[in-house]
Amino acid sequence: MERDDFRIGEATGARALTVYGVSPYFFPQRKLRNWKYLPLHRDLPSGLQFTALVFSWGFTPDTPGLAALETQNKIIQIKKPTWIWAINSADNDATGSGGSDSGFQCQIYHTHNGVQSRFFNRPLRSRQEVFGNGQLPFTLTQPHLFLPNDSVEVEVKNLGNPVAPAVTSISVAMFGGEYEGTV
Amino acid sequence: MRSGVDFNSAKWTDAQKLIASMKASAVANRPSYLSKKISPYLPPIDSLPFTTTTPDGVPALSGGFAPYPAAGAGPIVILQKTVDQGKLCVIRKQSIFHQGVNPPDGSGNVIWQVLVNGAAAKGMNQMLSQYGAQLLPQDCFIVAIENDVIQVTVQVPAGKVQPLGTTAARWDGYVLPLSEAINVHQ
Repeated sequence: MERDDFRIGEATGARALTVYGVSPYFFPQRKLRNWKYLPLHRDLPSGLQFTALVFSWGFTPDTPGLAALETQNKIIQIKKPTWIWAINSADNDATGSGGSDSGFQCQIYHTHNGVQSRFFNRPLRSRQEVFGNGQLPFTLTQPHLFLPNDSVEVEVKNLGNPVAPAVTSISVAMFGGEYEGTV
Repeated sequence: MRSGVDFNSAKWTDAQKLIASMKASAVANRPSYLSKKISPYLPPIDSLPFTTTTPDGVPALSGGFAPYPAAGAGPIVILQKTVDQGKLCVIRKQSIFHQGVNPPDGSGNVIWQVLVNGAAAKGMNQMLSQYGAQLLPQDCFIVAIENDVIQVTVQVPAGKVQPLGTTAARWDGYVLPLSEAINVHQ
């Protein structure tokens, strides 16, 4: 008979060297199509503390939104080892008469020890490609690890054309977990 | 471990520790995306340089510099380049200039933009003055990858005065094969 405790990743015996299977029933958003969006086996360690890295323009008063076709970037310095397992985005084009609402392009840069690599070979379109939304965040089948002192930079390029003085608000969030490593 | 993180202090399964260790090792050893040969100042010796000037890439301009569009008519493209398949393109020098008397610098009558795939290069979204001069392009560093479309546009906002004269742009740069420019350990 199949043991049912292998899913939590703490099993002993023959199952000890496995990672746990992902049950699509925990993710009701896409129903039977969930298997297309979720990893078959989740390789995240247990005991992570939930966190989200949020890169936001215009939704809060501290950072202005983007004018038509403008490009901006933000950097977050990583303090603890952080696993990222999903990304989503939101944007709000306050277009006005004659404006357009076309989303944005986004590129993510990861810098470790002075070496910068980028997630994509060119910026992705926010709505058609990698970024989910609040209801359907894009789950990474391979979680990505940021180490302490790494920096993460998100560059957004507004494709919308809000009519000045209106601006476009954009937010990109990476969901994940962090843990206390011995550094 | 090179990352300096002691995964053994965490109460994880062996598989989880192994995966974490491999991920950390992968992060610690990631190569930079661009080859370190890529520089805004000295092109790699085996790169292929290019210069392109208005009206290249814009057949609608019919062979000359671009007359300013009417006020409120929307932006027009005055220079366009599509990066060749399999190449990385670096623009090292750029000039965007007014040809004629009474340059409109700072008046708000003219807005120039540099767009990569429809979105502005950082800081070049709303330029109210010329960038460099026709005979003296100014340093810049714009990187684009195969099939990217780079454009310079000009517009005269509604309610402003359409200047006399024409405008044009020029890029000096180089292209490198992607296999040489990206993701190589050097």
